[in-house]
Amino acid sequence: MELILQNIWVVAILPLFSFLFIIIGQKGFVHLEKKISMYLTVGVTFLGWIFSVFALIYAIQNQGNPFQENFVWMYSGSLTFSMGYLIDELSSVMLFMVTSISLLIQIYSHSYMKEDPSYHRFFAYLSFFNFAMIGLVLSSNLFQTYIFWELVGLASYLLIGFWYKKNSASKAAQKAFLVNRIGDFGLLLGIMGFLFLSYNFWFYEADVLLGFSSLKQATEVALVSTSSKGFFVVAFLMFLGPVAKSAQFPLHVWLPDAMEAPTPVSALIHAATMVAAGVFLTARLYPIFILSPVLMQLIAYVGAITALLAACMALVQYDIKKALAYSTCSQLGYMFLALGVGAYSAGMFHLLIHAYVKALLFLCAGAVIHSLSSQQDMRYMGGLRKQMPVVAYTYLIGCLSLSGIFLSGFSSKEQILSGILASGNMFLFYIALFTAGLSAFYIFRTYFMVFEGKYKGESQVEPVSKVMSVPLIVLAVPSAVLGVLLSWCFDDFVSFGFHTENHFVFLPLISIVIALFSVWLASIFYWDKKKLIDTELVKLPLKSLHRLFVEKFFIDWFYDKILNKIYAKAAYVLSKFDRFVVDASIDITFQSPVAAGKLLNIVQHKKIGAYILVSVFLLVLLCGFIMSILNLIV
Amino acid sequence: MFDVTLIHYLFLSAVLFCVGLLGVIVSRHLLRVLISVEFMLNAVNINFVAFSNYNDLIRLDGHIMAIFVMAIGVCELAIGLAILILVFRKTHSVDADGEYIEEEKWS
Repeated sequence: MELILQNIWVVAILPLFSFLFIIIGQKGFVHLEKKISMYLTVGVTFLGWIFSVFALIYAIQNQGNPFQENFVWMYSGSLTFSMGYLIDELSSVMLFMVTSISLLIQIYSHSYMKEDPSYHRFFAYLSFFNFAMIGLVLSSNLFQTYIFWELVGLASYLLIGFWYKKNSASKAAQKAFLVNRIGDFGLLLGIMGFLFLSYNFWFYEADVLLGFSSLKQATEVALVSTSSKGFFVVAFLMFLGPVAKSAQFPLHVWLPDAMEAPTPVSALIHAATMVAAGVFLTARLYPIFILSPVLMQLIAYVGAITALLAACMALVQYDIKKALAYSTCSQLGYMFLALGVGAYSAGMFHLLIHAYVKALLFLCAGAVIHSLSSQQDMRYMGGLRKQMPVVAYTYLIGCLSLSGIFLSGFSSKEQILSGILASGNMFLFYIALFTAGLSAFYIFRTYFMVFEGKYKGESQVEPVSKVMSVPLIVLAVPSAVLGVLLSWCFDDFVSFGFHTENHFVFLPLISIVIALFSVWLASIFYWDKKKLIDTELVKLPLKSLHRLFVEKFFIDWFYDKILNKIYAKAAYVLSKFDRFVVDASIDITFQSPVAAGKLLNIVQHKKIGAYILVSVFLLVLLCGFIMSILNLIV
Repeated sequence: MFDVTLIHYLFLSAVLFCVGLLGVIVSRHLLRVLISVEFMLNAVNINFVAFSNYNDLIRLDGHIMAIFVMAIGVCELAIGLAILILVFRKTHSVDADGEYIEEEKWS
């Protein structure tokens, strides 16, 4: 046990080696044998999963007594930066979640990407992502977290732009990268500001700079050393990182575009693990955030707004992956809402459940897209339940779980709702309840459009391979029962010192009734068999609202205008300044010696004879001069 | 009878030297340049021998120096010719002014 925990860094390092092995050998020794990449990546992840089980067992046995080890990475003046790993309840749960989902998705990708010429590159990037994500989860201090935070961003960028020859894919990758840059920069500034505020504590009392285990004391020091406003600014800057990474309200625009990535990537990175890293970091930084009540309010409201807006946008999407992407956004908003109102363990619980559920939904969507030869538009699907029953039933399990009808999602959603209710903010509670209804509606909308009714597409439906079905079935199990199994013990396990015991008796009933009502509503709109109302009829009276949803609340439009009108103009002016002031001064500096050289060039006309003549003439002159002087002396 | 004095030798040497110098200056063929250099060396040799003869008949410093100069001149000529052949093979030209470094472009 000790041995495994001490060597748990292997879990993070091995994927890096497999990445290097594949990326170096992809043109050479592993070129023809696809199985090498696959077995290497899957084997490494499987090893990580075994380690994570041990870590989880350790964390269960030693609650409140995290295992950590650090070693010094570099000295910089009086600062000592260390790298290390910390295994506590939070990181062991995350590690287990990341490795298990990663393992299943890698197996699935083997079948999904079989035809792709860049198969090896794909697995190399998956390995790289695994390295970054596990490093992020295990990291013991903020400094190390920041490094891996950037690395997962890089992995996400590489995988969104995986089909880089497609213009939209490379554009989406750039968009994701740039939007994340805002958050990452905020996070960096926040970390530096926090270090600045609590420097004395880290310098005199703590052994690990910015270590998570002593974050609480450091926060108290920081709070004393500045005003509450200054502390709020620092905490807010730190919060910007999770906002961008988890696609929250002002910076959520990159996530739907990120669906240009291959579907396994959407499932792994943009649904289950990387976007949840924002929630994870918020949970890690909870000791800081909780001391700024304004920021906690802000977190809750950002989460609520995102949950509502994204759910609204998901209602009108016809691209199945985009609908799921908006759903991810909305559910992440839910988690932030929970964290913001103080329902810490409910938020983390929802993170865990949602990761499995959304990975399952995305993989099902991927199976559908794969067998319809890359058709993503739901208007050309329908009735696929008969051709691919496994996918349909697992998708249905995912839908039920996501909308919170009895399966896993029910318990996590119910915990969040009761957490919000316990905080006493009724406005947020109604938003959350309304959003829960919306999520049930949009997710069953996709189900009815894809799997029920009759087939409306033209392309041949190919059968789903076994390699793809097995991960779906395996993922369906935690999606269905994990929440039920863990609902009674999870908030003891991962908690932040307090519990939300306030149980409102009718709450489960209300949420289930709302969800069932939404499902019924979705069925009368989109289930061909039970269709009562044509969607076009509803669109007419709600035309402006529909337009608002389709245009994504004009947020993209707004950013586009800002970038094109203001930013581009400013950049133009600055470029002129650069051209005519900065460059010009350099031009003058280097043109003047050139001009002087040209002047001297007149004498040099490339005739050796003339040079000799001149030098002999001068020599004679010199001799004469010296002799006349000698004469004078003598 | 016409008396040959030191000044005549020196005059011959000066004329020979100037002819060699002129050859170096005006000729563009590298072989001619080499021959002209030999002219100049021989002019110097004449100087050495003449001074040696007229100043001190017993010691033969100047003569020995002349032999040194000849030996070195032969070595130099051999190497010079070898270089010349290599240059010709490389550039197909033995023009002294033909080859020069291109002026570097800055902008």
